[in-house]
Amino acid sequence: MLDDEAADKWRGLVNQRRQEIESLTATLTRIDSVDFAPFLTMKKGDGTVADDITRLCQRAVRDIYWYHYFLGLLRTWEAESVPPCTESLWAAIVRDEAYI
Amino acid sequence: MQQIPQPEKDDDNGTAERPLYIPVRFSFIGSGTVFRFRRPASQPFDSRRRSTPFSFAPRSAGRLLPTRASSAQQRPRRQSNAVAQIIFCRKGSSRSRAGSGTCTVKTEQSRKGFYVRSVPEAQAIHQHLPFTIPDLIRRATTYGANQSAFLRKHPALLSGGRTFLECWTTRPRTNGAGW
Repeated sequence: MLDDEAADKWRGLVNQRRQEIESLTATLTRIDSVDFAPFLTMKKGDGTVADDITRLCQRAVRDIYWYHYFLGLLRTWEAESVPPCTESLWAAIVRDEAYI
Repeated sequence: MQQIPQPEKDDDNGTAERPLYIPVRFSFIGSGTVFRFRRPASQPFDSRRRSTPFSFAPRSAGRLLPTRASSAQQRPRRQSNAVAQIIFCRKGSSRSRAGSGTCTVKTEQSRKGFYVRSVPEAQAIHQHLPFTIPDLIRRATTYGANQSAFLRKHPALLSGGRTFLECWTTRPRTNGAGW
């Protein structure tokens, strides 16, 4: 349902994970700026450091994406107080015009 | 579909110099960003067709848009004798998805007057441009904003969302005028 209740839910989720996402973003940004090749041979436990980074990316990239997705969605939601479909409906003289 | 004008036939067994066809529009389209031509040895080599990898922005119909990270060496050069050229890349595992998209793009471009030329020997080598975390954030924010505007405009597309009829019935009625 796309309504204020849903927007409140998204807002809660975004605020709840803000610190975590900012930390993950900073970590991945640091990884972006270094050469990845040495990690492929750097041993850590059973695998390599590259395996750890890959696992981190698989989890964090998804979270970062959806965090900023809902952030952008909420900003737009708050900027538009009236749904466009309702606006067009109000402006329509007859019902069919609202579909144009 | 628009017919592509052909050079007039002459009676000298093709020995006369044919007029150079001046291209009007170009279109380079592909599902990847970097392609490599693998020309079979049996085919004659076209000096204007490059065998080295080059990159271009997908769906840049009408003009070439080199991608931001492509070097000057990798940029495609205009092919002076081509009417238009659309390059399609074969995708190994997702044949159905690539196929449907390819057909759609081909049809659209044909209707716009492009001469659609498939180049099956073009293969993606999947050397995609660097995609950093800031790029990811920028994309997510943009998609979220667009999705919000889109779904607010067409709420009926949401399963369980407010339908157009609900908007209609919940309109604040003032004096009944305008209906």
